[in-house]
Amino acid sequence: MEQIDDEQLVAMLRSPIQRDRGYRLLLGKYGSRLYWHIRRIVVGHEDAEDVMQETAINILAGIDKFEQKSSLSTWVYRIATNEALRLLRRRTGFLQSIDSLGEVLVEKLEDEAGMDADAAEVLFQKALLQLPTQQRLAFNLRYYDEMPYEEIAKVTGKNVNTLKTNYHFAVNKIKNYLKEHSL
Amino acid sequence: MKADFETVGKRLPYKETEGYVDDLVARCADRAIASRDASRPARPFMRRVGIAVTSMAAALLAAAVIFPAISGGSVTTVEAIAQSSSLGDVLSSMSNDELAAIDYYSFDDIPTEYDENNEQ
Repeated sequence: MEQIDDEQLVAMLRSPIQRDRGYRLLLGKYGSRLYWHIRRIVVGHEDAEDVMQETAINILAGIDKFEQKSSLSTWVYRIATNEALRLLRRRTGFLQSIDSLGEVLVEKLEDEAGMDADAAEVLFQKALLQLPTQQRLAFNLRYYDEMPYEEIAKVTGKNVNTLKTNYHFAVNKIKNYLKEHSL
Repeated sequence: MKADFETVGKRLPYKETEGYVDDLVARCADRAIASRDASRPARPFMRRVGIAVTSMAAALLAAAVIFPAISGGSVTTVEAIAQSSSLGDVLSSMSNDELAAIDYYSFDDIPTEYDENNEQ
């Protein structure tokens, strides 16, 4: 897949003639990262596919509204994050928070991981799924996607200090969980 | 089993076959474009006819303006007549056909009174 810098991509997305090509290049550049970001939030393979599809549709529909107040990557991550959280919200009952989905997601993880999965990797993900959603998001974007806090703030709409606190709590909770559950 | 940040790192317990994610992303892009194209309203028939007629009229007008210039013919404008030295010069520069066209109607042909009985 041809690699292209974001400035060129934005110019292509602004041009009616080159828009579709620019869009395909944009998804080619960020699609894989977006998929794994989504997968870490929703856990399930099929759910991740559905959210990826919705994300792709929303990116295409929102190109005209993209005002370059943030980078392209931040913008597409925000769309993907919102779509993933929207799917989780649909899974919750009346007045139920998505934070309460931890156990459901752990069950899904066990189904998806299969019998031959690495036990340490599964335990690590279980530790992550115990976290409140905001801490899990901050941890995922910082640890797996290696995003600066300023960018995570734009993706999640939270302020940088809150995110630093979220990440700090998340790391401590994961360490404690692993200590308690390691054999 | 030891599970910590060092031993697990960034590995995930769920795997996908090689090329799966790239294929998925390409499929999502195709479907998004197809869905956008399908949701665009088709132009109604009368609007398409209107566009065709307007395009033809514009083409004919463009041809009328451009063709005399290409064939080397001169275009007499109101400004050119107004700036000419005399009416005689203008008339002498006109062809017989152009003069005949001017002469075709005389003032006598224009009725001065409204004739109710001859109303058509």
